[in-house]
Amino acid sequence: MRGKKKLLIGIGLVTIIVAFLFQSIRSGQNAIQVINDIIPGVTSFEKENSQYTVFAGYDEEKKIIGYGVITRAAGYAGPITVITGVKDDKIQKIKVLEQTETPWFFQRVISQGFLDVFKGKKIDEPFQINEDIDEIAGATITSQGITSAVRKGAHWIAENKMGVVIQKEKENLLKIEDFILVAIYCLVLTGITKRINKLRPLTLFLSFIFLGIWQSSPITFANITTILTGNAPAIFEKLNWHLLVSGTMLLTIIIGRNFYCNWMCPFGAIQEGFFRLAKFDYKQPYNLVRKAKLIIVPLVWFALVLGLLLNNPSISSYEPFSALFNLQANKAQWLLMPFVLFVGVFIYRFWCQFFCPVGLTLSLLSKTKGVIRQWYVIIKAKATFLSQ
Amino acid sequence: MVRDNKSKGYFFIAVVSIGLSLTLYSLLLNTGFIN
Repeated sequence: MRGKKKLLIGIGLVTIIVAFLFQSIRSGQNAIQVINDIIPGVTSFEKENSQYTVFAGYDEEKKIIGYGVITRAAGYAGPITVITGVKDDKIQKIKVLEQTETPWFFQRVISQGFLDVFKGKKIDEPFQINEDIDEIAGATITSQGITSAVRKGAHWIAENKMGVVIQKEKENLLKIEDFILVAIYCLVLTGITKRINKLRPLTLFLSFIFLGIWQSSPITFANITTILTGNAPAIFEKLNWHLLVSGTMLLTIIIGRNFYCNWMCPFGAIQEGFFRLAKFDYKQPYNLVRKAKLIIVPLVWFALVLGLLLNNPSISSYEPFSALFNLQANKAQWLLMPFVLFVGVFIYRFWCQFFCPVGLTLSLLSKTKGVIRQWYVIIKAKATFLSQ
Repeated sequence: MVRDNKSKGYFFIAVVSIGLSLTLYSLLLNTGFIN
């Protein structure tokens, strides 16, 4: 029985590694193919590698008629790579070269003509969401990512090729949101280390308000796969993101405990709130519960392998969180969210117990410390034995 | 150990099955294979 279990775990891990390698090999495409598309009339071009990859496009008389610049910015589930075509001092066309956004989210941005918004804009404009660029409702982070990439490219061309000085607003590295998150972490860690369980309802409530309602960004499986596949945004570009996602993962490893689910998760908080308010006397059939808890492992494995094979790890994020906190979701998530909340009235944290991929990943991470400690003890014992 | 009550068992199996079906449906919608 134990041998079979080990074999299954082994097969599961190997398939994930193979899918990951497959994804790494497939990603990356030749940007040169699109240069003609973004600057019309170009017959030849020269590539220049400076801060960004820049193409100078020439006409038949070898005169420069425009530039193409490739820039990247953080999207919802990884970097978005954009090529911006500039002619005279205006944007001709932009094209997304690479992205790992959830397909239907990205499709929404494209179908609503977001890329055409930039066409004809002067390259020294601010390119700020809700100032001169309107975001696509329900795909805010993707809209911000594309805008940020275009801004980088347009401003670089303006300053380095057109001699235009861009007025940049100084941004504080640390924002109020970062301090609030650190304060919640401090409360959680105090509660755990000093064993003050009374703090748990408070941290859950604060997290629900802050991560759920204000930020609308609880940790999703897409965030975790973004880190695991090496697509995380630059730390200074998205400090708050790293504080939440990388911070939670690191703290989970360090303290050896999955604290996020029980102390911080806003979706867990609302399920627990409903369950405790309703006080239904439904005794769970424990034999079935024990078996049902095993569903999550093949489910997450399947989601992860599917995401990696399709070259888009964000696909594996099937949770209904965005339906509740962003009011945007696919059809299934719109059904899943109220269903889970309804069943959560009878069954304690229904989603967390049986389906949550974030919970499973963090629980696995929390075991890292124990495994390392075990290995350390074994290696130390062997070394002592050999030296005698 | 609580003895499994039949109706509680059926209810549990039903909600877990619906949850699993919706989860898989969500996953397939994410892939873009179905709309």
